[in-house]
Amino acid sequence: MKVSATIHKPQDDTEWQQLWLSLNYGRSNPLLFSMLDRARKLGCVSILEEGAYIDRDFSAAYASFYALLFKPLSKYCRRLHLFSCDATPAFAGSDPAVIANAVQGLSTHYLGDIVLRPLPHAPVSSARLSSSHLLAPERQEVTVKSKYAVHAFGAEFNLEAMPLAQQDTRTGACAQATMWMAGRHFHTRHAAPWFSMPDITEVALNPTDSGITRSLPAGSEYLTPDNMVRALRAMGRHPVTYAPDVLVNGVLTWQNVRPRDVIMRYVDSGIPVILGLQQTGTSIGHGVVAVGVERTDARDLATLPSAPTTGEFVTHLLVNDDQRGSYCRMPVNAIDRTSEYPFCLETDIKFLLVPLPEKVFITAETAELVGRDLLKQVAANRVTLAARSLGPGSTWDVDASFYDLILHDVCMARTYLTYGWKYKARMLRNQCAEHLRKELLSTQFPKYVWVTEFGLADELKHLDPCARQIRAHTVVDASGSRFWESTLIVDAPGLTVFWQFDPANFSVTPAAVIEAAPVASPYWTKIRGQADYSTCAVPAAA
Amino acid sequence: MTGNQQDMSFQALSDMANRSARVVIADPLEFDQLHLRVTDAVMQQIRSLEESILTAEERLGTFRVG
Repeated sequence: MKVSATIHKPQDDTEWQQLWLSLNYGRSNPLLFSMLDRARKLGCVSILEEGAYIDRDFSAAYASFYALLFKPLSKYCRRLHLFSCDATPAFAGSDPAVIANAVQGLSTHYLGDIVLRPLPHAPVSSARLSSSHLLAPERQEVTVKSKYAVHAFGAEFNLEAMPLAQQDTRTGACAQATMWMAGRHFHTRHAAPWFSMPDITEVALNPTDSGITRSLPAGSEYLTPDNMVRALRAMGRHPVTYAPDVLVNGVLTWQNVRPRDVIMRYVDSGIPVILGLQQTGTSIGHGVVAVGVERTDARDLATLPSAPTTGEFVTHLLVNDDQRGSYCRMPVNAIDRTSEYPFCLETDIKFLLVPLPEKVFITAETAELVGRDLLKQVAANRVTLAARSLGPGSTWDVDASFYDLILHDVCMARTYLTYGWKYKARMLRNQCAEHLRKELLSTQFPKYVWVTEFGLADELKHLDPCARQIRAHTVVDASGSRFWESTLIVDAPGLTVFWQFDPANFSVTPAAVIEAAPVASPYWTKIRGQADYSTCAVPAAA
Repeated sequence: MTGNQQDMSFQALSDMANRSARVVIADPLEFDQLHLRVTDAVMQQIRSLEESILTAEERLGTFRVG
């Protein structure tokens, strides 16, 4: 099949506007505009338009729906490659190898790709905009992302991104788009099964119910949370739903959990969170996917709630919205609401859907409660525990002021899910106590663990992750239960407790390994994407 | 790798475990005396939290996402 290449180099507002319209057969589309506008703000200089392009996703939609229509429609798509440099010189010359190498040379300027399908009402089949290129990189972080390789003209472009798809309101609505985004992330990052939008609609409507018969084709305009849960289960996920839990003056209110904290825990674990949003006065909600956060270092620390979390530093969620684009800034608090984005977490959140992996049987909230409680137990009994380790008559008094803050629920917590082996690998390379690292080396962990880090708000507020320090942490078995001991480690200043099961002894109660040390110092938090702390270490003086 | 080298690496792990301040508590009674279990108050909080998640579906009703 013949492939064509067109390079667009819009120079000003008018030319960008013309390009936007011309790419969509002269029709405006807010999502396409938003994505091109974002690329422009990030320094996009040229756009390579590749066509014809066979898109697996549109092929699936074509086979299941569009090929069956009376109206003739092409199955071919076009793909836009976005560059922060002029791509024109790469195509100069007549030697194919030289051109291929020159195109490969553009890879450091690659900002992402957008696949356009021949549907003017919903042109974006999918898009992957680089998560390394953000509008405020010092404050923003896309925590849910995976690596993609894009191939064109004999070159391979690599990028990290959270993919986005647009609903076509024929084979799927925004509910399906949110699950497509989450599902495609799991497919790329964790080798989960590949699901197209029609695949998702099919499993969402099985078994069917009367609720989805109000639109044609069925499921094309909306889904209920039940339908979404069915689809996520079929996609191999184990979804957990959060919703407001008490009625206050006739209004459903979040009492047991703070939505921002819940979202932060999962997004910080690399798990996309589907948000069901609804503005006052509207009858149909909207679904988006939380994929990252924007932080501030100017939070007033005098007004923190009891048992605060690092979610207090989050001012905006970065969400993939199938109607508005990738990494949109959704304000957490109503006071930060602007015309930039119509929804706000505080006022518009209706429910949260967390697609957990298998073998996670306790939620982040339970793990944090357990961790905080056992850390308090250790704090309250620290002198007895230290004496048990160091022997009677020993004097031990480490970081008393921090222990006091633990006992008064003033310490700030950060809870995330990680692989047991990753926790171990990171902690062995951290600045934590030597006795902890020695014990860790010969400790086996379950596949997934919940880690809760504890520190002072003043030491955790920094935008630079290397500048953030913690003083304690707990580890809880993610396959655990409230019906048996699930805590694995409580590491407090100068004092560590391990809960260890002996494989030769099926005792109900595990053994506790206690060890005290006369001194303690703060250590690094987990830094996403870093296997060790080499980027944070200060080089020794020559 | 020779047999001697395997012994040496195993020895290194054993040496690490032989720390004077490392104490193992295997007696369930002593385990309780040292308060190494989740408190009843937090267990109740967890139950309440889990119940609120279990009943989330009822509160969402026929909410539509589209």
